[in-house]
Amino acid sequence: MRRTNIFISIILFAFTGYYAYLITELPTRNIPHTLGADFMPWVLTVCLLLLSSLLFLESLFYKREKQRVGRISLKEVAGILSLLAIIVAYITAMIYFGYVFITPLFMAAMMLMSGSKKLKEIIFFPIGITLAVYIFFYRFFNVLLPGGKIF
Amino acid sequence: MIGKKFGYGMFICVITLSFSLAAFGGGKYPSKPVQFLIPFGAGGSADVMGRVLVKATEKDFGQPFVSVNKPGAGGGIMYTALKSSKPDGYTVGWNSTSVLTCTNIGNVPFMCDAFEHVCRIGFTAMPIAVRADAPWKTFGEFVDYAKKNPAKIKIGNAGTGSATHLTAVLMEQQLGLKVIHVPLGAKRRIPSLLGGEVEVICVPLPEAAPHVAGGKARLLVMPTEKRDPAFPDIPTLKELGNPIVMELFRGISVPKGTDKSIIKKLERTFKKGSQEPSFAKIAKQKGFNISFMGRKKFEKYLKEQNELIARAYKISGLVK
Amino acid sequence: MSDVALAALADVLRLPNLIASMMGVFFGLFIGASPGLTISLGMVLLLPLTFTLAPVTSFCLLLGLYAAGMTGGSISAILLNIPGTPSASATAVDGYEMAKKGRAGEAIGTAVISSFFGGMFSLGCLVLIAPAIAKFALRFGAPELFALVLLGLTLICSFGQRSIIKGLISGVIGLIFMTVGLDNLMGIPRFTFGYVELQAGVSFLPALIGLFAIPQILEGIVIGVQVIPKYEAKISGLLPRFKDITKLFKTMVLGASVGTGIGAIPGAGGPIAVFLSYDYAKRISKNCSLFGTGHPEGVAAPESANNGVAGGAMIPMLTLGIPGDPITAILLGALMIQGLTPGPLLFQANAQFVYSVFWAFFVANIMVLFLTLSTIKVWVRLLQVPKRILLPIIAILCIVGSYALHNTFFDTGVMLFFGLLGYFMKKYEFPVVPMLLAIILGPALEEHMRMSLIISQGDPSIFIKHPISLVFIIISLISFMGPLVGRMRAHREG
Repeated sequence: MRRTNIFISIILFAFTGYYAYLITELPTRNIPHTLGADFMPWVLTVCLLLLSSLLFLESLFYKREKQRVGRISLKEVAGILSLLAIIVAYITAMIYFGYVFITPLFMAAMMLMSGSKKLKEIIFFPIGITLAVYIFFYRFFNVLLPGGKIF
Repeated sequence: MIGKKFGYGMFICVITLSFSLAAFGGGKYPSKPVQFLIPFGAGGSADVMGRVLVKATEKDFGQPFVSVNKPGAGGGIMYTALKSSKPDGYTVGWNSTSVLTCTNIGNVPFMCDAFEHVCRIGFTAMPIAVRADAPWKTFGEFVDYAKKNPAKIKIGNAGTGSATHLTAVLMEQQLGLKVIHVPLGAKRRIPSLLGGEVEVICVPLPEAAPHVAGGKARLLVMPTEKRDPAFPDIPTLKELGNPIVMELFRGISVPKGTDKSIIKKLERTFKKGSQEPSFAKIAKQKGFNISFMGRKKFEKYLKEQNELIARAYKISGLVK
Repeated sequence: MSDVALAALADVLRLPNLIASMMGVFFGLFIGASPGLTISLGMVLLLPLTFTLAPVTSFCLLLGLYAAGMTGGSISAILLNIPGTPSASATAVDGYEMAKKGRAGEAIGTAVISSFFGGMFSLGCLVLIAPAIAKFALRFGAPELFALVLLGLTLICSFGQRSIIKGLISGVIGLIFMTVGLDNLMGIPRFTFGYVELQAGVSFLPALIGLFAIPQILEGIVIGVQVIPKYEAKISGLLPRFKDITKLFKTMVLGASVGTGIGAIPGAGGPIAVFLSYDYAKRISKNCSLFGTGHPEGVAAPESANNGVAGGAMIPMLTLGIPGDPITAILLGALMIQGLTPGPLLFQANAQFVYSVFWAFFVANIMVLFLTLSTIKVWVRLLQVPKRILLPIIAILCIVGSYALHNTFFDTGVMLFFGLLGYFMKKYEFPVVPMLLAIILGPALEEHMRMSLIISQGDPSIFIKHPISLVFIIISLISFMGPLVGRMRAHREG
């Protein structure tokens, strides 16, 4: 955990620096008697700088902390990335083909990933859920679902 | 086993087919539901009036409207979405004065001429209101006091660059006053006035009306073209010799490039819808004056208001 | 009880009005429980229906939805750790922990009963001392609101479980995210990288859904962690026992009063009330170390505050004609559409209608209580759905729900971003609740601070000169330093 914390505080330093750079780029506009649009961001920058230094120093010098490893395994990274890829693909596909066509496929994929094996389940649940959400959101509450450019 | 799988396959095919049939209506406009974009959040004045209007319009139009709230950036989010949507008549925007304010302040990379404006439905007055126990009985007294006490009076508005702010800015310049503008926002303007935080607010009429009726607030002046039918005693800025007409108008816009026949159809339908008794009833209770303007008249009106707003931004120093 | 009140009760108990209440309650439970459908949206959708209904009937419908929506949000917070409404996010902290221990039924029962209590308490205040509360609430100007929000933000310290530094970092980063968007005071875009969509700022609900739900899905599917609480079939564990409920009485009174008070302040907002009452309940509790591990008091406090806010927000709406939150703003609109003018005059001119509103709220609360208590088994059964089916459903609801909110995939992107962030924060022991608090309160903090300075014309002493604001600032300092000092002392001794 200590090494991870040091690593995190370095990322935070970088983030703070980038944020500070963005603040200097802010457009200015003056309203009399009050603080500008950049006041709060500067306060936050200082706070974050202070806190990440504290985290850095704490992890550097304070060694009594239990070594609870928060390391991420390669398998986990791969799993997260593939899940994300499926979600992003789902969203992209919805932009073009709309909610009703894509959702059953997405749900089937998710079910496969989370260990579903029965074919019946993988076919009927996605279709049923897709329709249920469609009816509940669109027919019942008149809330638009992704429409799709092509259809 | 194969038979079973085949059965599932057929089932999927049937479902898919029935959906695609529903999706491709084909034929004459309108053949499917129309998205109705509202530039502010659910429950606000723009939202309620818009939803009631499309409800009244639907019968004649033949297809339902699906209302979608796109709040944020003073309306800028909605106008950006409208501008980038397909000009096929299936996305219609519920515009308001915000189409002029969010463009003129320069927060979106286009001006109000990036749209085809179909018609104006009506407007809401934005009177200047004070607490009932304020020392000024008339607008004249208020002006006198403000002149003698520069930078003392605080005028609340809905946010820097909003129509209520610009009204106050124009008034300030026209009358040679010096006031403090407080961007209270829509949520806080009435409590702030009644609680004594600001002395004056510029506020859409329907928000102020109940408090006037309840004896907690008074109206001083209306920045409208004519006196308001609900408050015939309140003078307009214009008749007091200050040519400022600033109204919170609402109307219909579509993306540039929409077919002329579709615009015509929308103009006709919304004209009819705005005359529906169901809409008129709600409009009256919400302090919304129905005064329909066709496409031509609305374009001219927009141009005038646009110039006024651009001028107000220059005066206020928000835009150089 | 006066004749008018009785006549009003008789009116509310007429069949059409009862049916309207029931419909509102059903609607509300579902809207509240599903991510992406908000109570305000539900109300707006029902609003056109009310144009043709009698005033009392329409209020039965709308108040049913209001009361039930709050409770529905807590059910999904407890069972799935997805707060359906922002106010339910504090309930998720302990409620979900309880569910994980197989006490889902008890948690929902506690939530529903404390909601009922909060609703009744605030209704009592509304009937008895509304004018006094309303008058006091009007004294909350910009500096007072700033101080109140500041007080809410100091709770960050108490939610930083293992490391206060990490809790604070999480909070500050949350505040930084909320500086993105159009600055209302000056109308200039900040940190938008040229995207107009970012001018609306970080949408609150997608961020909330992301922080809570996405880490669940990632952990459940990728690592195979047991993220859905186990279903326990033991009937005895389904309902909280009467003895346990009486033990929660003190907590519920506290929560309900905090909720009613803060609900009555226009523009303060329910989430502050909910988190403040959670924190205070923790402080006065004998078992404060159990908070956060699935303690019934941690459910009772925010839940009673939650529905206290509902009644509280109606106080300024009915007595002054000023809505306390977006939902009462819609209620106010409904009143005006019926041709009724809220404010002191309403009590004189339409006394019977005002009483009908009280009764309608009363009936709605009772309906929610019985309907939810009798269906706890059904709700808890939801946990019986296997993970391989439930997780994909949650994923779809999150994605589609965040889209449906404003009809844009941009919000879905925001949700995914916060989802990933939430996952890694959990992994590296950064508490999520401080970030949530910051996201809820950040914009208000900055706005009220700068607004105060405009009003005082740049004089910062405005925060100290206003007594209410001064008191809140002092309490904030104490509550900020408290955990720090406590932690240091514990350090020295340990």
